[in-house]
Amino acid sequence: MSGAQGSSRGAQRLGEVVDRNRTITFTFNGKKYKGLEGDTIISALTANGVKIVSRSWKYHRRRGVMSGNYHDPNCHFQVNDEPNVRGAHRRLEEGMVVSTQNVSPSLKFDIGAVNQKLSRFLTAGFYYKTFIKPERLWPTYEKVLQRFAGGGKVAATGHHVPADKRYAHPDVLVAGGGPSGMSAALSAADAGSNVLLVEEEYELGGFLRWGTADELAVAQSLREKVAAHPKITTLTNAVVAGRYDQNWVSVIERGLPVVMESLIKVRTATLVAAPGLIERPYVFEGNDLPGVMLSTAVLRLVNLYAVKPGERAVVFTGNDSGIAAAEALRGIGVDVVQVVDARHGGGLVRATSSRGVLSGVELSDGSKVLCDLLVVAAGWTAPTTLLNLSGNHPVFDEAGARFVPGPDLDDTVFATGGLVGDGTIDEILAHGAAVGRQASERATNGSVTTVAPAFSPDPHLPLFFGTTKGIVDFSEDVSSKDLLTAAHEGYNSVELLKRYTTATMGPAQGKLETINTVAVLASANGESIEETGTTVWRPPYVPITLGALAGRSYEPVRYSPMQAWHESHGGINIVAGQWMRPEHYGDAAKEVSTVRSGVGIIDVTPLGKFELKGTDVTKLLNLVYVNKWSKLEVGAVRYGVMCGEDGVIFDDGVTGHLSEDRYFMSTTSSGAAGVYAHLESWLQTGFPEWDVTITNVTSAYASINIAGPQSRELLSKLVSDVDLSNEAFPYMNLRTGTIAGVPGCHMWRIGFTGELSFEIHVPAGFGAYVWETLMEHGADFGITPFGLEAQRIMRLEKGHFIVGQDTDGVTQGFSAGIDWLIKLDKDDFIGKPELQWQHDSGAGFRLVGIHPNDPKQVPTEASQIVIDGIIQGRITSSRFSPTLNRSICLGLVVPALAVAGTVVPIRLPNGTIIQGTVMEHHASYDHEGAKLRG
Amino acid sequence: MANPTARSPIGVNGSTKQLGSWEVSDATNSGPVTLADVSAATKILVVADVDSARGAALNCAFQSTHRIDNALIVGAGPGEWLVLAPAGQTPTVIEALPGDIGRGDLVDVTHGGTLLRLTGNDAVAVMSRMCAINVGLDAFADGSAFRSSFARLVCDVARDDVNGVPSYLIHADRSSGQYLFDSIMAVGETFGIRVTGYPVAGL
Repeated sequence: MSGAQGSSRGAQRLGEVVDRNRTITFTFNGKKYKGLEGDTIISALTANGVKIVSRSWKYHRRRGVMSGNYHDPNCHFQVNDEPNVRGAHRRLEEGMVVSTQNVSPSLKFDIGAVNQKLSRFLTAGFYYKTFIKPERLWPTYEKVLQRFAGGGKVAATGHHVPADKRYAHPDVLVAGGGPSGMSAALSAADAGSNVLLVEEEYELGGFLRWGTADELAVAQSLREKVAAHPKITTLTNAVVAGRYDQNWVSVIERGLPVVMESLIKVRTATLVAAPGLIERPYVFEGNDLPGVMLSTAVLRLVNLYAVKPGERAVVFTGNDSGIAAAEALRGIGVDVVQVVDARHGGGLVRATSSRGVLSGVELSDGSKVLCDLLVVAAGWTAPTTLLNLSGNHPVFDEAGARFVPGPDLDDTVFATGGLVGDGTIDEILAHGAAVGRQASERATNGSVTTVAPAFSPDPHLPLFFGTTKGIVDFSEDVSSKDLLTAAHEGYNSVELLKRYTTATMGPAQGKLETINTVAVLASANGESIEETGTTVWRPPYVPITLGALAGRSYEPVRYSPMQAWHESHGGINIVAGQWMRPEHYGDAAKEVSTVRSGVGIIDVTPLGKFELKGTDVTKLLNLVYVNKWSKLEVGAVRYGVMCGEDGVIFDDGVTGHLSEDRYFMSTTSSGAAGVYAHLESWLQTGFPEWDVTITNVTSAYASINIAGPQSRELLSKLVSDVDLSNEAFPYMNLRTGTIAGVPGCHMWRIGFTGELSFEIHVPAGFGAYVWETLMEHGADFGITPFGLEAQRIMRLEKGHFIVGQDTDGVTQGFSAGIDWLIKLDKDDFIGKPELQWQHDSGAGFRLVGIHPNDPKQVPTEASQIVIDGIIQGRITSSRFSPTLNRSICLGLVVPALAVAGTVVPIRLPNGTIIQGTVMEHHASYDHEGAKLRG
Repeated sequence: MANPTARSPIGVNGSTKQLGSWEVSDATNSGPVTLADVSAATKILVVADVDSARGAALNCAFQSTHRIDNALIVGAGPGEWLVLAPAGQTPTVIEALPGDIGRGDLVDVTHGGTLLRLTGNDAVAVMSRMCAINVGLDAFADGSAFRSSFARLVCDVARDDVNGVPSYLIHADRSSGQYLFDSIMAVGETFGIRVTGYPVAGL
């Protein structure tokens, strides 16, 4: 184990973010290390002298820290069970298990490195050229190639931290918490706007964080003002991932307590893009060796973490960032042996290696210098993604050697900071403040009066690539040689080049490599960068997890008031739409037998229930049902079937007449929402003048069907204010009374099971109480609760069809055998013309009862009836009837077969043909209805 | 036969008390955000044309709330008003409705709805994770109401602050009550949400 702070940890730095009093232990590839609180994985590894941290994607070349920030393509790790963790960003945590991805068997000895020896065969377009033929072998190729794909491993099982999702509605969203972003946020907030400030790093400050004492003081002052401002909400360790129409902006917030990531859906009036600048690598031979770092990586490691990234350094620079890095290195005790300034004619030819890491550099003057650290400061890339996503077309500034916003910026999108130009701190703050005011003005009153000061990039040498070949895309191992080869093969447009070579398609997504790719291509084509153009930027700005996109899962579930009872009494749930319902309580056949011989109760709460009020309710009923409703007396209920305008059965149910102008409609469970919408649609658009009010009371009543020959006796024990005798309360009637002391209960004499039964609708709050009371008082009768399966068996015995089960999307009314119900002699109703046509033409299948000739054979539902190779029908419902001790079915058949006594061939799924006989009635049990009416 | 007991759609963990015929939680908890099941509250649905005399008599504009005595009228739906009052006060509330509202078409939906009260300075943070509507304290002031998707349910939401502390009443279909409660508790975990019982007075 290394020392408490790591062997390469230097003396305290002014702006360091580590806590030297808090040590954190972690492992890297199985070896134990120590870091400090505030360290990133990479700063801790560097502090421990670890130089080789990964292997490259394709050639498995040794890699070390390069950009030292979130985008560093060399610093992706498996951390515990989380893959692809950005090690130059993720902070160290106690006990972290960090390992290298994409190596086999180890980082030190990686068998994949053999690809380096084969590199001349693995050039641009290798996959396309090699595996295109023979085409039939592609599945095999694919399996093999997948084994070489990089990336970490997702744990199939284990701890999965939930993601979250939320919404935000600021006036101004500022993307980027550097000096310009903070200045813009403060200015917009001072102008009265609610501001959401989003910063990718763990703290605000941008490049000031690793700057001079003066710069640190400015950063601290700005941070304090932002924190104290009541109209600014700040998110750190968060990133603006995308911008969509009307400033719909997606933000990903990371590292939250309880949840891992949160997707924030932001609707902002205006957007200020202030992402700063990304330092661009330089293309030369050996530019991916461990020990070659960008200047900002060095500044971060030295000034934020007090870590020495090497002992003997050479600095190649085209700007002051390289000079600052050299000063920082000297300040921490690194020997800076040479600063090669391109502005003064200095040049870099190649980096050389020993034992896989940097050992020296060869300069353009022919000199060779030994070193273990090469600092490169070749220029900047403006991350214009948010502008591109806003429809803007950034233009290339030749003098500044980077892109700047184009003139076609959306008037609700603003840009500031390095994205726009360079300047002193005061100039940056002034521009940010002006843009913040503009954004606030646009957000609050629409017109912008503030004028932003002139701001443009400083001149910069066009340092993209040197005289030797090197890596352009570090994520995908694409070299400048690959790009030149592709261009010479004809892939000389940037979009084709991208897809042929995969340049810019890796995890860095172009932030580090796009401009160099374009520069190499432009050189090959003899064009300018402006003429060559860039590839299209698409969201997300950085890779985000699928979990974050999914967010928290909201899947509504509906429960009846008796659900807790069901679950505590052995009820086995079945999901029916959104409802959870007991399918059975252990033995459905036994439940059937008990109901047929005694009494049982079933929870039918999910049945749709609507209270209809008004003087025109009967008009509505006559409109939507196929039968007549004008003479339904108070206290009576009637069965009805609804059809669509195509005459196809839409729903069925029972409606009762409660009192003058007041009705109670029930529908199927699954059809409730559709019926409600259907009724409201006709009322609001077809007949708005009708006096009808519909209230959905599905959940307001707990519904229980008490079925069986002893159901009257049981209910009588609990009802005192309603005469339940057959004479006073006959079949197809309803009464309202008190059950078990609960007033306002509706009682219906109807029965889906075919037995004497009472369907009671109880105010839902009392549902569980009434159910428990029924069970308690039913004990003397041997009462059983029964579930959906028993109910389905009994309704099939009785021959009652189920809409959607025994009918489908083309089953018109007469097909279901409800000829007796359809009243073509009444005034127009929904579906009447189509039903008239079906009546006259005799078209369509017919629903019939079918008994398999082998009473033990239960054909699978949807088994087809095939004659002479033509489908002539199908089984829609089938069960073994414990009551009849035989199999029974309902089926839809062509009219010619719908004759009692016809024997039809039923083709089972396994191809076996069995015979079934068409019955005279749908009902196999009590088809006269004597039991129902008893 | 024992007196019938009405139960909320939301199971109670812990001790209960009787509030009229309703069994409710008697927990007393506080914190940055609390959730109370107030489903036992009286709920009366009034439906009328927006520009009718009956609608005007309620004196409650669309997307707002209005208090009369101890009842809160919530105008979350166009042409629909939900009158909320303490548990067991249906007749009293109907009698107290202005004009001829109480004699017109209204439906007691007390048993058909789940009513939750989310209270606390972090309540808005919880709300923003469940609903796309801007529920910021400035944008959704005390006395405002809306109907929208909330945890993928159709809910009526009213801001009804308690002693100056942000508080939201959330009304949904009864059958989804347990799901809604569980969803809010899951989201609220980040903020240390605690369950508290039916309030001593009021909703």
